[in-house]
Amino acid sequence: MAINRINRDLCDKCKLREKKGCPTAESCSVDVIRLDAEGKPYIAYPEDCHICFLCSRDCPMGAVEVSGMIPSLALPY
Amino acid sequence: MVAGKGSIGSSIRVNEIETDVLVVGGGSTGLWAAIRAKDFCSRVIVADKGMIASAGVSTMIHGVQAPVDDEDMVAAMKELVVRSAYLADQKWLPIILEEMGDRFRAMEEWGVPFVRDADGKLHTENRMGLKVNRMAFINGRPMMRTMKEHALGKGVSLLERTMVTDLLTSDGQHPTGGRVIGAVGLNTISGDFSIIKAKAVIITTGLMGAKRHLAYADGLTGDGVAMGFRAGAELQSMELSQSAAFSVWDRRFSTGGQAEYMRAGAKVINRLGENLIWKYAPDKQAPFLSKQEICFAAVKEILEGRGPVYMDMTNLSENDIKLLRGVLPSAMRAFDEAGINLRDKPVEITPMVHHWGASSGGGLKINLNGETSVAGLYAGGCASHNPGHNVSGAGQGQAFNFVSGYRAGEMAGRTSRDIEQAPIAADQARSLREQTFVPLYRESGPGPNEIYEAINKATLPAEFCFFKNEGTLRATLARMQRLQEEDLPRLKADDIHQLIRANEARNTATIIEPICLSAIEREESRFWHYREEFPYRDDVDWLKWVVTKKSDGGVSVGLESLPIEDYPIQPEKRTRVPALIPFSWANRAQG
Repeated sequence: MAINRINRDLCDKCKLREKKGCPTAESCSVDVIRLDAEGKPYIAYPEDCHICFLCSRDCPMGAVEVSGMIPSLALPY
Repeated sequence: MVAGKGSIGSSIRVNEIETDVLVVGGGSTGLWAAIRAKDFCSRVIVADKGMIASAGVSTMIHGVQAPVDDEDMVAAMKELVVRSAYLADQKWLPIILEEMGDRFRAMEEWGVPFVRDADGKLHTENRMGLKVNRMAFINGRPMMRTMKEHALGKGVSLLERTMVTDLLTSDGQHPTGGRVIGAVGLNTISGDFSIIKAKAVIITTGLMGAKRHLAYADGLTGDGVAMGFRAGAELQSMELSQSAAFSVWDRRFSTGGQAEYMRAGAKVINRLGENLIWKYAPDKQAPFLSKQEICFAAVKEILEGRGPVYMDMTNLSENDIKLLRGVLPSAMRAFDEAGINLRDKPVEITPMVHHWGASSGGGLKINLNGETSVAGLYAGGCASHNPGHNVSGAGQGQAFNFVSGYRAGEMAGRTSRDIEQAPIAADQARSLREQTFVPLYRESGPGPNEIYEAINKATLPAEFCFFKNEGTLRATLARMQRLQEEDLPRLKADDIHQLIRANEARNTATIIEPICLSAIEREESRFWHYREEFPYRDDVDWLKWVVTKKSDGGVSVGLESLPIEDYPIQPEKRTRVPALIPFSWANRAQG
């Protein structure tokens, strides 16, 4: 739940669009997504995802899958 | 340790940076502060934990107060003062209303694409029951990108992926008897430590949250408010600062759009099918409840045994749903994923407090120029107290962000020209560095997630969020004080990512204490603040602001009376008004 998957096979590191940096990694304000040795994004800290959907929205290749379901909810009532 | 994650590292690289003005927090307020400060000084840096204009809640803004025409200014101000329950600072309000127009026009000149109708006229709408004040619309992402480009074009420097962890002071003390002279922080990926000398520091770190995975605001952890508080700056109205909504649906997911669903005709009902707005609205001819009132009503219904509470959209047409999909694509996608057909049956909703520091309330106390009570320290936006005690969801908060950021930037920029950079106390830089990094060196102890669990366990229940009394507040206070005394000194982090979380957790824990103490002090019920013992709004004795400040041995609490007799808009008579949604814990349903 929350950020589920980044499909590496779909990631072309945005080189065809001459982007600097990974828009998916840069869209995350809670440092869930990091870049691996190849420069591709991966889910480093899934437990910190606050399900804003910016990463999936910003990936031009549609490589990021996010679920809206919150993994653990401590509801007060 | 998982390959590829940040490693602890055996040595920490230290960068020394010098600037005229340091802005902490790169949202819309921070960028306005930086842009304006740059008109007066040559070196302005904006530090942010993430990537400015790519991440953060400012990229999700959708509305802002529309500029008010001169002929409507008096009526607009009166409307906002009445909606603020007369608590608004009427020296600030005309400034916000008048200067918002200038900020708006400047942003349009830069290329910020506010929504316009086909005829070119600015598209505005009435929101949240306001009749005179209107909201204009903007997509936060292009707005932030435009503002970032403009800031960079003026020569503002960015220090992204950097968490500022504490403030440097001229006497090396917290709280300080001197002034703020800079800050320290660390890179969120590499852990490189920065010592930033600055003649002025502007706090624009936004809301104060506890990582509840609601409202996309987990990155906002009260860092700037906590830092300012530790340095000795006064806070104001912390008891009024919470923001809640029907954020949890079907007990499984969080999504927004509450106001839109209700505008489309959705009803809020309890288990018995009673319409809560009809049940609680005082005006049965034109029933209306504010967002906060609906949340209080829903929680009361749940606690008194008539829950669950539902959002009922079964009466909406297919066309209504289609329109909602166009306006709220992300929100509606959540329903699709959950397999919910909104026209089939009502959906359970759970009112939750998202965070503190929203439009209605509190943060670092500032004057009209964004100065805090500590020299060299400024603030604006949601990190400062909001003097308008605004209506949430109608754009006034965003207007305050723009205007206050601009003003703080101007004052900080101007002042920095006339002072010399004070030397950094080596002892303080070293001790703050150790304090920032010490969780990495502990063998065992609670991690940041455990701290947040404890914070949320203490502050999520209705006894703290909604229906408070002195007993419940003191119980929460005691738990938070124990947390600070026993758990925070043992806080452990495994890598740089967790170290950032650990420093955030320390900040969030810090601000709960002034919230508790302010809530204990305010013996009446107003806005989000309800006291079971005082279930009325008290305009006789409580047109006051609660001010808290770190002092030796604890937190001091004081009161500042509104100069209401000097204000142009006053209540016709000062009375005690019974709370619209009263509740007593004696009436809680058993079982």
